[in-house]
Amino acid sequence: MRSLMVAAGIAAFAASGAFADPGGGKGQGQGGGKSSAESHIQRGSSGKHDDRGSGAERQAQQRGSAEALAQHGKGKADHPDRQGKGRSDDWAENRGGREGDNRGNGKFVGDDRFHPDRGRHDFNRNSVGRDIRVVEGVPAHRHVEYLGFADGCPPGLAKKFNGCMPPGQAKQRYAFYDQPNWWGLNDSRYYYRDGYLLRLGDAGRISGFVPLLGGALAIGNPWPPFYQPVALAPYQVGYYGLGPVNSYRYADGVIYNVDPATAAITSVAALLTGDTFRVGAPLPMGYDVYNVPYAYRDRYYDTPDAYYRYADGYVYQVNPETMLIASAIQLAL
Amino acid sequence: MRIRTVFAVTVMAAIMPLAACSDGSADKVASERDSQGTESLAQAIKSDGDLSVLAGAINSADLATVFDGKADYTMLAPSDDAFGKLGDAKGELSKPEHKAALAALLREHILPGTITPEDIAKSLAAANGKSISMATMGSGAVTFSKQGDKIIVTSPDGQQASLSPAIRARNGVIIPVDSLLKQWTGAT
Repeated sequence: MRSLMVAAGIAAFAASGAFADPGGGKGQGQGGGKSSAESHIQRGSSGKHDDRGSGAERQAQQRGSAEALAQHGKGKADHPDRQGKGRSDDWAENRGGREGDNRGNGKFVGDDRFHPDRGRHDFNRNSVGRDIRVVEGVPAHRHVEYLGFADGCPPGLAKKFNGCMPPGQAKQRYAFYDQPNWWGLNDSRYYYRDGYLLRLGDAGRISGFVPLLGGALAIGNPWPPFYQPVALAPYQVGYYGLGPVNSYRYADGVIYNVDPATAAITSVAALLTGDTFRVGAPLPMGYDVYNVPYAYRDRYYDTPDAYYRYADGYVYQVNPETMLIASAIQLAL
Repeated sequence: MRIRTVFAVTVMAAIMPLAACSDGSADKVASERDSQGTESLAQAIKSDGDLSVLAGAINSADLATVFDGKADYTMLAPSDDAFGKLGDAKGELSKPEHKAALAALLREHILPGTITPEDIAKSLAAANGKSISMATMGSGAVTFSKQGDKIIVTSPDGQQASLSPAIRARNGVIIPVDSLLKQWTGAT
């Protein structure tokens, strides 16, 4: 599930450099939790769920300078409002904590949403030949920062949309999906037009836009120059079978393959949920059902001590009592 | 209809009282049992005789490569009959001017990872009668609930569909549904 992000200008991943897979341990926080405790590796078929209940504490970078302590094992989480509650109640509570709803904001704080893919990056091969690793942080794919153009519209759109003025009467052409709520937006300033979701600014001019999959971002179209390339983490590049950094682009929960020479979109590589997962944070809403891919079900299955949920190339171990994410597990490349 | 690739025997035993029997065709489900799942999602959808409209829609929306890729997805797959409920509006699905809306429509039917009807049934049982939700690749989450022996999926805009026996693929699972999970009323 994703939240549409509207570009009020140049869209760029915040701290895009942080998407590099440093393997260094930046931001490991204070008070321990470094080194071996921060990356737990599962070994072989006999190691099923051997990462549960260890009591090991992991430091997870949370919201900029804030540090959150991810705790493993039962009864250790410092979330009293979640302790002792049944699963369904916990899920219901989590729904209030969803993140990423930044629709309409001209400025999006991105740094504190990003977690460098850090950890020891140990690799182990189990009995069926899968390389996995557990990492501390997962890049927040869809968190972008919008810069500039507090009012007006970006270069390239002014001509297309009559100097960024509203299209006027043409607005009613596709009534059934013209309206913002059809696209999951609750802001009446938005409407659909010609492959974009457009936002009207206070002055009645187009002040924001979202190029859409199948619309402005259809195969064959050039990648919009106002959407800068982003570098996904090496793990994600491998998982989704992407090429060099100049051969793919990302926007609004979609990874596109592009021609490196022309930047024309050649195919859609993958869809992402766009949900934010942090070790130590609550599992986002909308993961009530076990959804681990077939290939990993023999290893990651729900038990009274651990739930497992999949999203965007990672399997997340979740504490059933607290519904806090205990670890993020990278799958085979 | 081709032989559907569904789940192993133990899985089917749990599914049948819930989903498979929902259309009163337990024998049909048994005959469709196969656990290989060697086709990609795109191939499996394309080769299913009841999902031909969906296959065309996926191609039209540029999403075929997603379902041929490495990542796992669950497709709540509107059957041909489900698209048929659109009436005249069905013809608009393939028009280029609606391509972005079609892509958005399909994204509301795509869930992350592999979710079987049995998985849904287990979560529903654990929820003690409450509905459960699952994120989509679209703008919202779907909810699952039980109505008698059926599993019902409800979209954020209130569209409802019942689940049919699932089709296993190499990179996920296909669960046919009998209605679209996003409003599509037709251009005006």
